[in-house]
Amino acid sequence: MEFRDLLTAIKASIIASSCCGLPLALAFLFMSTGVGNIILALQVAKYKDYFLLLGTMFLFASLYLLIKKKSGGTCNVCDVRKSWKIILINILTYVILTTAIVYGVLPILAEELFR
Amino acid sequence: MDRLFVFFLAIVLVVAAYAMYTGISDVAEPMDNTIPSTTLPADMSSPLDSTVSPTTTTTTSSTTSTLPRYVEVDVFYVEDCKNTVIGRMNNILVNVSGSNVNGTWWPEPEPMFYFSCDGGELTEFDRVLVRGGSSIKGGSSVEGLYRLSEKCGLTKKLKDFDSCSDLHVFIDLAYFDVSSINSSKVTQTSWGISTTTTTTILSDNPYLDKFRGIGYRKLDMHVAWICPTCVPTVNKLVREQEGIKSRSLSYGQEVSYVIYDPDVVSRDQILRLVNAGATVTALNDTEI
Repeated sequence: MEFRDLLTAIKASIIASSCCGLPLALAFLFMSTGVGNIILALQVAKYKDYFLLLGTMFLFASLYLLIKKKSGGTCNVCDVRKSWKIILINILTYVILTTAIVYGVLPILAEELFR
Repeated sequence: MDRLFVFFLAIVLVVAAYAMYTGISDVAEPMDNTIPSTTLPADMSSPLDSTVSPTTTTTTSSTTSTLPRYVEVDVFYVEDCKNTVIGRMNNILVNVSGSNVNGTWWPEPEPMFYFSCDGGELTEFDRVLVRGGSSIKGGSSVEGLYRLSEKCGLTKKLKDFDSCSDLHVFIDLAYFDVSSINSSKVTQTSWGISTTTTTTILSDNPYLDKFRGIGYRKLDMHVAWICPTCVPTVNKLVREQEGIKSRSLSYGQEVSYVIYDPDVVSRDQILRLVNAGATVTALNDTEI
């Protein structure tokens, strides 16, 4: 198990947490440049469920490709069983990281930016 | 896999662009259509009595009808000036009794306690913790034991508490939701301490007293936030809106409110601002 195996979960978390990170980035951009409307930036957050779905889809698609690559072009039940550690660690990392970003890091960052 | 990531990122950007595109019409639309009319009281559109005063029920003979701002709490332990981790501090233990003050701290509590030593002016404590040393939890009952600390010793901010022959500690009612007060020792908004005898049941936050009787309105709303990030952003929008005098919009709060000047900003404008980061239902809009 290498660190780069965890990149799948990290990338999936980035996609999933776009639901709250993107509106924050856009709102800050609009506020600092004076171009655009903060209310419009916040509209992105209304599609939170879609972003979480996209993140999860990316995670499973990436894991599928990862296992296929490691198993020499196949991805059957045996291959999945062999790679259960990678799958479990990636899923756990994805859930923990996404929760931490959405409910921990981003609200603190938003508080600082819009103080 | 990098291509896959780029592909998903592209989808994310498309979804964001679509959200903003559809949001243009939402921003432009009046809010009247998005708030169920059944949630609004019938008298919302009609002019209200401009002489609305705080709801005050006096249950005993009273020498004053003004709402108290500070209520004295019982001091039951005073330490002398001691070395602590954060320097030399005086600690006082006080008891906020439910028989005197009932209420709950705000979701983000800002506990304010003041002391008066030998008839001096009210001074805010440097630190307020619950007894045992932990911070005050938002939404918890005000009733309980508190450890109040003030710098002392080398800073010589004031003399040690144990040398005060007449020490009084007060809690500021403006920093929590008061449900009732029953105290024989209250002091009014002036710094001088006065003693009155009154029993008062409050239904309003005394912090709002300064907004009463000048034509401002209080809009109560139920706010379901879309994401935690939206809270500070919406707060900034509302704070910067001209005509908004005060607000209480925070995560996990059952009922939020905004105090506004109806001559400057309309109810729909406020709802539109809050609606940007939340699903909002107007509950009540009354002149205070």
